[in-house]
Amino acid sequence: MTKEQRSALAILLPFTIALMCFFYIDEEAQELASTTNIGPRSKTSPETDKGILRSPAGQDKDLTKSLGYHTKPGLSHPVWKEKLESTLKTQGGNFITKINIETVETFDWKIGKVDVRVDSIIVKLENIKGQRSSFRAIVDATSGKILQTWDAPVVDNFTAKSSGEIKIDSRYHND
Amino acid sequence: MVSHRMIKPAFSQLRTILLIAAIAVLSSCNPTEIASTGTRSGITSNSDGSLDGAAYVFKESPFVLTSGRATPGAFNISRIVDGKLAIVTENTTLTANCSVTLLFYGAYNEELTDCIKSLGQETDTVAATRNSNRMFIFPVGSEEFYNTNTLYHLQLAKTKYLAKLKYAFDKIHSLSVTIPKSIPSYLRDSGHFWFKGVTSTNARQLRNSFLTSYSFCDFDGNASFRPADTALCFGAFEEFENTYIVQDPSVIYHEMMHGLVSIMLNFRNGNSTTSHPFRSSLGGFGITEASSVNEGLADYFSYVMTKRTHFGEWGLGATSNADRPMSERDADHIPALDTTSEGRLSYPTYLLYNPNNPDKPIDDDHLTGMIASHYFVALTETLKTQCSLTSESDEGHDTATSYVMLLIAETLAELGDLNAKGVDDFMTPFASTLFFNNLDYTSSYVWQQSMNQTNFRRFFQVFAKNTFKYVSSNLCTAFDKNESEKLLDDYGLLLFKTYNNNGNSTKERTKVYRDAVGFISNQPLTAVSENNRRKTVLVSKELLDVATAGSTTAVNFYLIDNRSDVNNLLSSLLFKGLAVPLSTSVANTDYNNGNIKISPGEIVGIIPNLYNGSNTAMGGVQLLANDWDHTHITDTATGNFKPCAIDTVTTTDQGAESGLSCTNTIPIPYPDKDYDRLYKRCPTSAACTESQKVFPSQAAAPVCLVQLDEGDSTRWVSQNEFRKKNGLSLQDKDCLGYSTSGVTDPDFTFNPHECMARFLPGANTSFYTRIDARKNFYQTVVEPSENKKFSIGNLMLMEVSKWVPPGTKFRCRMRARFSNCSNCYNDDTNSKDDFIDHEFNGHKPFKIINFEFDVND
Repeated sequence: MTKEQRSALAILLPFTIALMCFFYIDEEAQELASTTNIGPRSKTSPETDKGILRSPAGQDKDLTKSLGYHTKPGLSHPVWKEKLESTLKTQGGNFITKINIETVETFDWKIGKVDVRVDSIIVKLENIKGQRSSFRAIVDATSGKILQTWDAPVVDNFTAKSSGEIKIDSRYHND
Repeated sequence: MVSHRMIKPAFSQLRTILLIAAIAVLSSCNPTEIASTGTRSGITSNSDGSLDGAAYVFKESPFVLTSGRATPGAFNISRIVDGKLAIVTENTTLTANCSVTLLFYGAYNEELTDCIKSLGQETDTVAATRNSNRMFIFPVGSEEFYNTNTLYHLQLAKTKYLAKLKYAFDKIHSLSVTIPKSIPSYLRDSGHFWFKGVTSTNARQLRNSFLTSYSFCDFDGNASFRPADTALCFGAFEEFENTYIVQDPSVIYHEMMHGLVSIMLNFRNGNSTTSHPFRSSLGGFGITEASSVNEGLADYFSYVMTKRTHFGEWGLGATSNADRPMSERDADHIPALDTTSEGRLSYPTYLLYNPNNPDKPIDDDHLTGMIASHYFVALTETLKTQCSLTSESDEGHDTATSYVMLLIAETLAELGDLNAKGVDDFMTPFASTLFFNNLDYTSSYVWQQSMNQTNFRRFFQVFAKNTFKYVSSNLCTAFDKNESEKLLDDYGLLLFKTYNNNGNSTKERTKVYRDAVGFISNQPLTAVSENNRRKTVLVSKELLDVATAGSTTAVNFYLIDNRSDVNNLLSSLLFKGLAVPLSTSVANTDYNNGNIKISPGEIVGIIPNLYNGSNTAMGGVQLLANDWDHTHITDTATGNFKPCAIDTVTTTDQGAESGLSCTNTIPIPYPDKDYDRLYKRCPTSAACTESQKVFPSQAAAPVCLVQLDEGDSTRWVSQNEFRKKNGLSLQDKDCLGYSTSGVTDPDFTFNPHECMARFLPGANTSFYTRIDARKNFYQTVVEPSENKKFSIGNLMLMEVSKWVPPGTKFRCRMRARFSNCSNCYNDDTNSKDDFIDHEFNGHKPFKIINFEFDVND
């Protein structure tokens, strides 16, 4: 390669790389990049992914059925579901924008020494910033009352410069 | 968006022309060179398939690879992409497989296909497919490029973990069966060595059986591990363009370890046929010492992977000045710290220490976790030298970290045991109904999370026991018991008097492992050598109390009853994973008036301001307001009770009862051996009507009593007794907790003894990282801090019924303990052996903290 050719390539290469990147982007990815401020997204070929179990948000219920999880009649939409959603909305207020309750199974459990039929659930949440959270719970299979929660997320906030979230009333110390 | 679609036809033509031109220009170029700026691989094809699954990756963060010259927001990631191709995965998509062979009377291999999936955004559902050349070479900086890099580092971490697990499993199970072990021999059968449940009940424990990683979560400067949907989530930094957390591999390893901690903690919670319905966690929604240990372990795993004793130089340091050292030698530390016994980062002195801003105390579990990470690193370095490992090619790093990871895995397996058996029969759980961990099968989660939750003392006591059992007695006898105890003491972590290793059952001290598994030998109780306790100072629980109100810095309890503040707290708690059952028809924030007093109908946040009357700082103070055994139930028809006289505050003159029912162990055990609750139930196993139901004669009771005025005298009674005798026409349906689900029938957990005031389930424990000598918590942590705020973990939430008459007096009997407490975990009887689990249902391990209040209109 001559010196001139190398010079021409040096000028053209950044331009052509940018063009190549541009052509990798499909319409959907362009929209995504414009809203999330991440780098350009390359196109992926639709090769079959037989192992994918995860469902699109809000479609878990149907996917659960298709995967043949152990579900009992009626569990996919128990009578308490709307009431529990309402209870969670009350607690979450305007901060929580989406609540998805995924039923897992029904079993008998002891609370103290009292036997109770419970439903195990996964609660998935989205807040006003579009951030997601999830936890598990058992609820009274009759009333939907939450009896126990577990599997709360472990969140590492790397930008926190100081501790604490709760400012106490200024009347306490005349702050 | 509309205009974008309108120009599409013309846009497509232009694109076609430009594409042809670009192809013509690049026709002689090798695409593999595009990714590798500044370096050439010389690879032109993958015709022989030897590069299947290969990609160009960055092996370290921009900070590390540029020796600190890279600046967030002004850095081109292509500068650090390695010039040599690396195999990322053998799969055709950005997924990884898990394979492990465990030795237990033969070699047993387990293969899990697609055990990790690397995706971009949380809306993504399909992992990227490799290119036509069967490699994962994507444009540098693209989403797929980062997803590929994330998978590369997750693969490294997963492979390292499985190798360490194999080492631990094989070593532990090669020892005599007479030695009690926690990592179960049936680990492969249960699938719990990964995020996989028992096949038939997979959904119960783990929904997906794989770990999903999202490299582009919508979190500013955050990353997380979500066990409920087994997902790792990595955010970006809004402040800096094109700066993502996944650019720092040490942070990927840190987050991965949170997932691995969850796995190891739940090793014992399943077998080949069934699994416990819950999963243990190390920490909750607020700061605790359990979450601090979790953070320390996550930092340590970064050291295991990188051999660097510094964590997050790019992802935390360059972006937020929040990187963390793991050795006292680190230049970021204050000069007072060094690797001498005196200079170690010791507990509780450095609990609020921030190396990046040492003048301001900060209450953060990542920083308190540094005490744990420094100890783990110091232990590893000591093992390298003491066990003569430095001559190995990597100076003993792999072997020494294998020792420490063995101890971590064995310790977590014991602490998180919800099946509560502690040890196993040969290849299976034992059949006996005895329990050795976390009280019993049904109450284990409450014990693990609240009643006897993991703190620095509990974690390092079990860790020390395992060090003695596996390292000092087997792997490296040169690191003997004294060496181990001295190093723990250097860090102020010799917080226990014995190793609690004699295997008492949780409910009967005389029953031991051998009564359940005949081949396990009797385990003598091993005492800590008091000569080794030079820095660790233990303090009596009697010196902990609530601050005396009066001065400007001594409020006894802070109240938060501003409506918007409480609403924010409730929603924040829900997002952190705590759903509380609110009694919305009887109490809700519409009643909150912001007068910093407790009024009818309010939901209030309560922050007790505890005071340390000793001359030594107290660390890891836990306060519990959940039900416990502090009453004598006198009437099973009503469940009414008398409070036990267990402190000098609630006396017999005030209605308390001393003697048989509350204190004796025979014939009425105290405290109750089972954690029963004060709920109505049928008197026998036969079905019954609502009117036939009775209360139990023994049960844990709610903490809040109410004062009943009877003319000549006053008594502290149950809330149920008060509402009946005080002339209140308060029906069940008007009680707190009657129905928190909106249905008309009462919930079976309705407890009329918390009809008028109650701490909300789940929000009834709080935690205080450190209280300095002769100071209260506010003075120690909040007042000197930068923003003068409390943490959410300092708070409890209380509901007060709108029907409570103003002037009604309540007394809530909370229980407190702390990690460096001399008499919270054992008394002088039983050779200083620890209390057995059911005793944590009573008062002996705790200091009673009385929270008294009047309801004001």
